[in-house]
Amino acid sequence: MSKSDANFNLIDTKLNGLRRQWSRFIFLNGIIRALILVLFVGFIIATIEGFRYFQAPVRLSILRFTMGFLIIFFLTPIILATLVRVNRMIAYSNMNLAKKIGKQFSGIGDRLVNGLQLYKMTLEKKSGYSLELADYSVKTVADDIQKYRFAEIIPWKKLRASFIQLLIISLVTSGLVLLNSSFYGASANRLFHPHESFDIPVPFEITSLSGSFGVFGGDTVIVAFQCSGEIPEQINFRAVYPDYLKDERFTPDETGRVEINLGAVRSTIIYEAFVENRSIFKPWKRISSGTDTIRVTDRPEILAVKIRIDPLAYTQLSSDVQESNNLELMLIPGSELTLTLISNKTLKSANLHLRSGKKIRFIVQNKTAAGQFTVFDADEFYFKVFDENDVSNTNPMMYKIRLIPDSYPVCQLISPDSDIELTEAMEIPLGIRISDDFGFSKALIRYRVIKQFIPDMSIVDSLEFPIQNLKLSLQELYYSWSVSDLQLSPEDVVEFQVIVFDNDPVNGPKSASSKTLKARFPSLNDLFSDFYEQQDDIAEQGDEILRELENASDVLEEISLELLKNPELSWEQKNQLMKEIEKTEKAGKKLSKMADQLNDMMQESRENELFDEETLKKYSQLQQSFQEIMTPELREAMQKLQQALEKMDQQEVREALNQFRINREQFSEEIDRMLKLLERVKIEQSVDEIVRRLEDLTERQEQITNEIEQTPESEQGKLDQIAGEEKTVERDTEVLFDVIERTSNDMKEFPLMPSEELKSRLEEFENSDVMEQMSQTRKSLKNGDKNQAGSKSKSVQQQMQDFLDKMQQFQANFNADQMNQLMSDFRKVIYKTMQVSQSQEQLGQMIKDTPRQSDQLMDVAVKQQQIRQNLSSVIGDLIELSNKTFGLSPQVGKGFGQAAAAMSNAIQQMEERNPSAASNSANQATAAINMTALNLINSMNELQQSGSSSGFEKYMEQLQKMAGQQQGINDETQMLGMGQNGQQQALQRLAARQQQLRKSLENLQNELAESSDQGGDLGGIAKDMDDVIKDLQQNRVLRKTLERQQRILSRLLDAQKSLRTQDFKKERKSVTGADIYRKSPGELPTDLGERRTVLRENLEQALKEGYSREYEELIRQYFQLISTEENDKQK
Amino acid sequence: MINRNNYNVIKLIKISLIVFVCGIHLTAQQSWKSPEVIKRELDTKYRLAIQFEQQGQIDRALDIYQYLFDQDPTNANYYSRYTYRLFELKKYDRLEQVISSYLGNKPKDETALTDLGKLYFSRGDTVLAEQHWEKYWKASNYSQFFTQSLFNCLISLRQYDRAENVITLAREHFGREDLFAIELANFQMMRGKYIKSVQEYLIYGRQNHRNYQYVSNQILRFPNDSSLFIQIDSLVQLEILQTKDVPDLYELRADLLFRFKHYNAAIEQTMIVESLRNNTGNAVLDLATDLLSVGEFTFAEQLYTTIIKKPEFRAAVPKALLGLADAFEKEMLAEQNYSPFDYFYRDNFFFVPEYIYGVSASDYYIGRAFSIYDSVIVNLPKSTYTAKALYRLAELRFRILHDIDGAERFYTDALKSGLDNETRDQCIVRQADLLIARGELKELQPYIRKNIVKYSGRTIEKPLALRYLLGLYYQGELDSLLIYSNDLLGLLGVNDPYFNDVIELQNFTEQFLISGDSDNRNAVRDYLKSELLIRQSKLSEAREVLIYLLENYKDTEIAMPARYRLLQLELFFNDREQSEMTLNFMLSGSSQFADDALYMMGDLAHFRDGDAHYAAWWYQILLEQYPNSFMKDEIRKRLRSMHTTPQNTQEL
Repeated sequence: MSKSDANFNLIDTKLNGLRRQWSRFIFLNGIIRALILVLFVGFIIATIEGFRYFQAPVRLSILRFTMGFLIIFFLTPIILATLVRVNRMIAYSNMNLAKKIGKQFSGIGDRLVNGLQLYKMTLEKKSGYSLELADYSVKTVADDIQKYRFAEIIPWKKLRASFIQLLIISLVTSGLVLLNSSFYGASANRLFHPHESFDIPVPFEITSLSGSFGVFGGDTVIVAFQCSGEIPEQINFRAVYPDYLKDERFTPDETGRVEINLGAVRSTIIYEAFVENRSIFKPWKRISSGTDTIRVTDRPEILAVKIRIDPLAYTQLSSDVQESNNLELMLIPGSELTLTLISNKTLKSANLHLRSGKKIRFIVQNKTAAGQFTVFDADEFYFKVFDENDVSNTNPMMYKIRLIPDSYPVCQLISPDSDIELTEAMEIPLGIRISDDFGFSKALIRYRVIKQFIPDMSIVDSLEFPIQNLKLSLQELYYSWSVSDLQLSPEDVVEFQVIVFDNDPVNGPKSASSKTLKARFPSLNDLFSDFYEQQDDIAEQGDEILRELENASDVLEEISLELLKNPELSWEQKNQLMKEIEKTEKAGKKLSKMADQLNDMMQESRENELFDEETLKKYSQLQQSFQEIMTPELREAMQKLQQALEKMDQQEVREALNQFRINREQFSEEIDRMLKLLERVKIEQSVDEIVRRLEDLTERQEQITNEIEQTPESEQGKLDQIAGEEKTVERDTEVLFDVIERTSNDMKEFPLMPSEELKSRLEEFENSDVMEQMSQTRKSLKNGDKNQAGSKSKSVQQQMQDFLDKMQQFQANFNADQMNQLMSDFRKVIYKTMQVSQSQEQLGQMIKDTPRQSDQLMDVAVKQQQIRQNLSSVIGDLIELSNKTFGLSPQVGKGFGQAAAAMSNAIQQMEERNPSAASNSANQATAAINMTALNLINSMNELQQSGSSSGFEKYMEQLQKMAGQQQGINDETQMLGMGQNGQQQALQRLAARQQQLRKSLENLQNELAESSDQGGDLGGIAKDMDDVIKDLQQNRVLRKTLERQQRILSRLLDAQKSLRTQDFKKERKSVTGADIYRKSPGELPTDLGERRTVLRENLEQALKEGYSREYEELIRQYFQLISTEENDKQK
Repeated sequence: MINRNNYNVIKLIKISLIVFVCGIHLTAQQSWKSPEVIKRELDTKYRLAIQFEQQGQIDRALDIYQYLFDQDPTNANYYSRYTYRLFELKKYDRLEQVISSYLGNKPKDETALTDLGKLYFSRGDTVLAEQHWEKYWKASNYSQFFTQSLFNCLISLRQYDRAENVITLAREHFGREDLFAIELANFQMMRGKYIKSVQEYLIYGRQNHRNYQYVSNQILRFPNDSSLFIQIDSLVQLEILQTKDVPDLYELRADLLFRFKHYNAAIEQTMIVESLRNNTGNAVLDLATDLLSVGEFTFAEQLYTTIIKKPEFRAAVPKALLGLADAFEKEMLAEQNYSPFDYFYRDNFFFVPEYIYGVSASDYYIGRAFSIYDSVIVNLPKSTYTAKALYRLAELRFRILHDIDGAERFYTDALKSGLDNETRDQCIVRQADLLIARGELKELQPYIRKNIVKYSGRTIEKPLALRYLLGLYYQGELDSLLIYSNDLLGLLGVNDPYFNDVIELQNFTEQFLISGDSDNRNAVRDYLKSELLIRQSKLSEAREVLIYLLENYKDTEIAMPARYRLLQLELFFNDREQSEMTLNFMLSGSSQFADDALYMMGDLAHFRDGDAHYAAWWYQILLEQYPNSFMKDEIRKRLRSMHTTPQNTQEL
């Protein structure tokens, strides 16, 4: 042993001592900690088991697991301590211990480590180191360490802390265990006996009182349960049916009993009552009564009932099949019911029991049974069925039978809605609304003709009102009833009503009739007087308005002047102005009403064919002018004045007043113009009336002549009647004289009208012996001298005819003269306009050519001023012309205004020595004049074309011809479509013809477009024609082709209708009696039938949808209501 | 899982952000307008308001101005138009608001400050107004703009003396006598103080020589007073002396002299202008044209001759030559300007032949014109002037000498030269006229159709179409005429000088030619024959045809114009007795041409025949029988002038 070894041994010993101490520490500390764990884990497991009652395998696993860990816990410190002790742990090697010591004891520091390392190097004999030095060093360290107690570096404090922890845990767990000793005792017992099973304690029990039992299908079943122990708040009940599961909850009574009604049971049921635990602190999961079974034996049962209802044929209702869920049957008396029922079991017998006592036996076949009966009264019934075991069904359902009675039909007259006067068309436009639940058998127009002059000859008769579809339960029907066959004379009356019959075969058809109305055939006198009365009324109203406006003009002027003197507007002045505004507004409204009145008059006279289309057209223009007379400018001026008055702004009032005055002046002038035009039209219309009256008188006289000839001399009564008719002719002739005289006087107002000529015609007629001869005819008829009367009547007729010819000639000349006069005036205005235009154009050039520095420029300006004055003169002529015709509105002169303004500009520019700008202005003026001239020419041409009826008639003829041609093409196409031979060539020929017709149509339309705005309904024909041509060219005749052809034809015919020219029906055969003034009949609604048709279509559509009868009734009522409202509105 | 959730959240946030940003972008695009767009919109509204004002719709304009001002209360234009109207309408409350608002934005705006004073003044507080103006005028250091604004303001308030005083004070303040010259000049002119006005105008001209043009225009507006002229001329001369060698000033004086008919002096001044402007010749040529325009042929001819003679005007010689020839033509035409054919549908291409009657080839003027054109052709061959000269020669032959063949030759030569498109077009058109003049109507239609196709869409199309229509008229193809005339109206447009000619022809055709019975149709054929003969200058034949027509169809519609035409022919042949008879026929009926015819009788007697007595006779009939005639003013004037001549009065 060297010195080094000795020294090292000293160190090693010291270090070994330390390692032993450390080993002890590790052992003790490990054991204490293992104990802590054991106590803690054991306590936790015991607690959980105490609550949860783990099952045996779980408990076994817990036990095994716990044991295993305990062993590990205790073995670990022992092994570790041993390893340290034998220096098998690097962490506790000499070197590591030296380092720990060095850290703890600063006096040693790294020297112990260094010593150990040096010693190790000497052992390894590494070169470069001095052994002596190493020895010395080890020795020094060995010496030094002796004085240190290395055990101090062991953390003994930790051991103490662990021990304290152990103590605390031991105390806590022991305390808790002692406090719940039974709980932990039982728990420990179960844990330490892992192979044994322990019962979980339950707080109560549920006992099924009913248990398992058997019942009949359909019987009501009640099951009961008894709870003992702690009675739960609710228990669950589960019944398992074959096809479903029933879960319900019930509350036990105080005694813990629960009764559950399962109702009628039809199948086997398994049931149980139970309570489930959802708390983790209670060991039990489910407390059940255990499952029981109810076994069911089946009864016969009616599964389905099918009821077929067959109403009587007249109702037009189809058979209806109802299912068993409908317990109420609405039936029409006489309906037959066929019932079929299906049972769940094979049946032995089945019956239907009526409440009235009757029992109907059904035919049974296996599970089905069927039977039938007819219903006449309201009743109730049910079914009783028996199975093969004579077990019957229970609680049969009760079916109710309700009856629907066949109601009375309803007939309402929609049009006319009041008494009417017949027009020339001799038609009564009848419109009825009829309704019945099951349709109609017929409708009749019942009428009575009351002859005015022979009251005893009243005729009562009826005719059928056509009903297209008798089955429709609600209908609106329109029928134009021509009364021309009733031989009506003027002033005769037709009293009529419509009766409708339903189709009830049981009680016989029931009927309903509309209100009774009268249609009167007015005399020509009535119509004309009516017309004139209205016309005079309009003229009077117009005059009144004009008078008022003229008076007001003075007031306005006065206020204007006063305002100039004193700008302060007084309260009175303001009121006056407000009144004037109001008056003007009223005047506007009145004019609008007058326009409506004119419209009514036009409508009426058109229906009665009182005047020709030309006169009516003028009325139409007049009416339109009345409508438009209140210009937007006037309205604006009124509004501005009103606003200014409200603001009381003097300046504004003054300006607005001036504007208002100007516009009102124009307004008055326009009314004046309208009234003048009305006067003109009135004269033209009077001339027309004279001719019309003469035509009427001539015809009536001719009829009298014929009647005289045809009446035997012996029939004095008839001759007296003819004498009466002659008397009316005589009197109407006198009326005619008055009309002529009045017309002649009216013409005097207009210098160029042939007043004198007309008067001389009148004198000529008056001086003839026509009146005398009429009187003689009448006397001869009274005396029964037929021959004398006949010859006189002929003579009268001849004279009448002559006079008629003359008057027709007069009328033609009169119209032509009027038109010529107008055209001449037009030409003059146009000529003058063009003169102005030419001079203005020349002047424009002159201005351009004049140097700006020349004093001639001012001369040119003077010339411009002259032209401007000439333009004013033309404007004056234009205004005058506008008083004569509707064809020219003062608006045409608007261009003149622009021209005048441009001329003023030119003058100003010339004054400013700007000839270039002035020349431009002058040219602008020329252009404006030219434009106006063009407008004037267009207006004139339009007027001229409208004045000639020949073009129109030609057009009508062509239309008629084309319709004929189209008819031919249609017929042939239809034949070919049916498959004749040689089709192809024939179709090509037809295509060519159709093509030709298409071209004719085009030409016609072009002509029409050029001549007037009358279009008829030709739109769309061309396209249809093109399609037809295409089809025919492709050798095909489709259904569409034929439809198109038919449409073309209809439109051609419609176009003629819409462009209807005069086609007077000479229905008046005699004229009678005194002047009778009557209100004209209320016209039919403008949308006649249109809205009602829509309503009807909607209704029919609704009924087709297949609603229940209640709904149908409701829909019907709704429709009635709408229609009534519609009627009321129209009234 | 957490990651996935995070990812979803991020994704959601991203999507939301995108949606949000897009939404904002779109909304912004919809509502946001660029300033340019807004400005454009406001400008459009502004223009609209001015239009309304011009149309007198002040209320509507005012509404727009209010809107504009509300939109942009700093815009001076909107402000000034708006306040102008408000002052006019005396809406003082609103004015106060507007002015305050404007001053709020522009507190030193001088217009608004002036307007505020004006508002005080208008409300009657003149003292406050004066104080206000004075305060701010001084504050602006008598700024020119404020002064001008105040001056205008005072004029609008009819404070004329104060306005003048403002200018005087401003001039004194700045020590400049030329300030506000134009304002003061216009102001003095408005007040009728012409001499003062001229003085100011001349000061204004002095500031910039270009102003003399404006000054000239203004001075020319002064009254036609010789004493005033002398004063003004002396002022201008003084100005010329003071400001030497200003051509514009000489031009101004030339204008003034021209205005007062001192043509020689005007020529002198123009010559000076030329010399100052290096003798371009423009001024003298313009002056010559002006002289021609006012009928001063002699002066014009002298001037042209001077230009031709002076070597310095070498460049202007061709134009001067053509001008001189033109002057001769015009002088000749002025003497021969009374043709009876001018009165039937005056100035209408279809009814007035272009011939000049009564001039022979030996006429002095025509001889001169011919020689000048010849010299142009010889001296300036192959230039545009040659074409022009040839064309003019052709015109002289056609219109004056009625030498159809000669004219055609020249037209063809001009056409062949092909140097001037305008002349070429004119020649093509004239060749159609020659066909008509020859009565070769069948050739006319293909000729025109061919050229219309060739020159479709060019200016020549219209005159050719007019000739085509004329051809239809002479051929009696009246239905075609009406259709074609409608088309032609569309082609011409209302601004074309021939538009009214076509309308007149159309109207004439409808009134006289296509209406009536078969008699009229026969008569129309004769009438159209006579019309063609007149166009061919075969006047005796035309007269014969018309006499025949009126003998056989005197009651037809066409008889009315036929009688007028006959009257014209009789007047042409100076058959006074016969013409009186024809006129009496016209007067006894209700001829729409009667007053025209009476005027024609008087006019020709008066000016062509120099028989004032005879003329007065017809004039008086016209005034008595047709008091509403368009010629009444002119006739009264003539009669008045006759009455001022003693011998005429006695004769009358």
